[in-house]
Amino acid sequence: MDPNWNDSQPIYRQLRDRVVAMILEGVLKDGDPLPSVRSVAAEYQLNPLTVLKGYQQLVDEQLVEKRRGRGMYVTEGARRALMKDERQKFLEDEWPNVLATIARLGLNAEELLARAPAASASQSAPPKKENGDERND
Amino acid sequence: MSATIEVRGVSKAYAKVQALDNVSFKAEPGHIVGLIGPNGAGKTTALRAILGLTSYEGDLKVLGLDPYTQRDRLMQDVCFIADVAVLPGWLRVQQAVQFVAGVHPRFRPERAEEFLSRTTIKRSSRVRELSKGMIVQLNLALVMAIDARLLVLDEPTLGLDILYRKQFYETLLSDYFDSERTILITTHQVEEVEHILTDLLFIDRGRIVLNNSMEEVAEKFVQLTVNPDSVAAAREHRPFYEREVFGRTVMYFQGVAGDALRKLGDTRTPSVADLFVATIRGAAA
Amino acid sequence: MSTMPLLVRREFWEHRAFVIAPAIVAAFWLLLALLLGIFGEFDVADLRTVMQNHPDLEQRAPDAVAGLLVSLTIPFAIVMAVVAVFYLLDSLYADRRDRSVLFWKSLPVSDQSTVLSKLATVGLALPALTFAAALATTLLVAFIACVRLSIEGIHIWHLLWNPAVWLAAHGIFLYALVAAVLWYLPLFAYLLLVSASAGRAVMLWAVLPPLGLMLVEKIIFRTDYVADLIGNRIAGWIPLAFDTGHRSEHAVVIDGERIPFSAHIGDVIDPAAYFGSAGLWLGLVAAAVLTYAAIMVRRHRSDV
Repeated sequence: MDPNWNDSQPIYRQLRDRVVAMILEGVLKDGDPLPSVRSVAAEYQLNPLTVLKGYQQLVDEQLVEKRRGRGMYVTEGARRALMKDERQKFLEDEWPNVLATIARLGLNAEELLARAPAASASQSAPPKKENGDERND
Repeated sequence: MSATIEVRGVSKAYAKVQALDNVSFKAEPGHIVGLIGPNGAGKTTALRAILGLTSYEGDLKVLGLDPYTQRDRLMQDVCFIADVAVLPGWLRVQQAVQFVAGVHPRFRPERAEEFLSRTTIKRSSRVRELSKGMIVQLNLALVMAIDARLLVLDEPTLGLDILYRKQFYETLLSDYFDSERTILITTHQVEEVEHILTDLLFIDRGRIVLNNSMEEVAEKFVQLTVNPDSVAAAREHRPFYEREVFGRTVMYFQGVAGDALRKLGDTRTPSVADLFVATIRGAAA
Repeated sequence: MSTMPLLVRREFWEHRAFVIAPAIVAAFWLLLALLLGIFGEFDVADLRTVMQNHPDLEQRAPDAVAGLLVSLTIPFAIVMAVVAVFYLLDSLYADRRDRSVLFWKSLPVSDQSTVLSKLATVGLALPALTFAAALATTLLVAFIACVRLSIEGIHIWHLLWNPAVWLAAHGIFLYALVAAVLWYLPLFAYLLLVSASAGRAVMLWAVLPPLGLMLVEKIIFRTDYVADLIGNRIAGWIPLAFDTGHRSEHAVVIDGERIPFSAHIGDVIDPAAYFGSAGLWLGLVAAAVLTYAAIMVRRHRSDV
């Protein structure tokens, strides 16, 4: 499992991003323990303090909590909170760009959706809203 | 807790060569310190002084002891792995374990045995019958079983293939290192230890030319791949080194705010290897 | 220093010659004994005649037997001496040459213990091993001789298995070993010092300086003090430790041939003269000084 850290971002941030990706993909579920600092340091050949910093970042973002004597655990609702953030980012930043591109290229949005593979509707009910309004789930 | 290693104004001259020139640095408990330098820079001399193998001028304390006069006491709490070649060829694996068990108060044979059982090393083999990688495993097994507060590694993975190298650091981090222990490591394979280090020391011609924690390095040093039209503007911030890569100019700055530079191109924290080259060549300029 | 036994054991792990050399001598004697025992031709009648003509022979036979036994042990001692010299020259040099000294020095064993363990190996362990090997070999050889002679009809079991004879022979051998080791201690320490100091060609460094001194003295001063000193240090213990004067009184004569030996230890050895001699004690002082020097060199030499 060679991570291939890139050198444009500090390692601890890349570590944080990796854990976030794992939560989003469902590999780490709410309430799951994070692998120990020692084992992550050993496996990825990192300084334990770096790993700790990455974990601390997650704690600050309230995605992870420290349970006394037992280590770090994914907080309840972490995935939901992340999904919310990611969706908001997508709907605010990326979605409008996609729409603009579709328009610029003279394509029809509904036609494209009809032809898109069913796999895109994998998570909970895909909202067919056009603005970034998200109230439930 | 006082520092594990305290070096203050240490010098050492051999015949006509000044191997160490007024060197000062510290290594704290729970830190992994990397001592990087070209051949002949003085790394080995510094390690020898720390391990009590050579005399020196200046003030040097390891775990509160003077290494040169108190070497055998110091060795109860310090372990040393020199580049692979030093285990005697005639020694059998079980003899090595027996011997260290008999002379080292902090050695736990069961731990060494457990570690060895995870390898393919046969107890009755002599060191000269083992491959380089297995010798390192043996050395590690002995070291892991000793409850040492300081581990000094002198090019520990020299000549090893990648599998053994990775396993070496993995074992070090998972089975040995903790917040009370200190590791001092010299190596040429800078990329390998880059992310493991807490502190960074560059040594060149007997002098320390960089002495920072990795956090400080991330704050102080910036590598800028300059946009072609901003080269002159970038130069005004006085880079300490610059070079050309694929037609683009890359500059290195110390103590210059990242914001000012971000507009002039791609900024990032330099890798230890790049920083090393830049520091050494920059000083020579 | 409770680690001394382990340190000495380490020397035995490294130097298989310690065991192989006496084993070769033992094998040699045993093979010889077996060959003679099985294929040897004795003129039995001649032996019977001799024994009839010399009735006191049976009384003096123990001396002869003791003498024979001691002469069996001599090759063991010589081999031990040769092994000891090569071992000492290597002891503080080999690990510097292959850099394994870095491993040994990374362990909490003082340089003092290290040097003393080499001295203990050569002064205690090797002689003990040599003695044990010689004892075992002579026992076996004697047994083979008895069996062979019994077949011929000559029964000397009571002669050979006389405790006094064995005590005498091996007592003398043990005494000789102790006396020799104590006398050679300064030589051992000198070899240790050379081993610790030499950068290369240890053997040359050991031999050339004394040789050089001898020659220089001879040429410049026309005297031989150095040569005499060295000669005395090599063989001087023998006339001191043994009482050669008494030999003539108790000599056994067979067919006009003198067998200069006695199974009475007291007649052969002269501990008073030996342990009272200035040579012994001066030598021991020199050994202490040279050993200390070896320890200092081992500590401070920084070519590791």
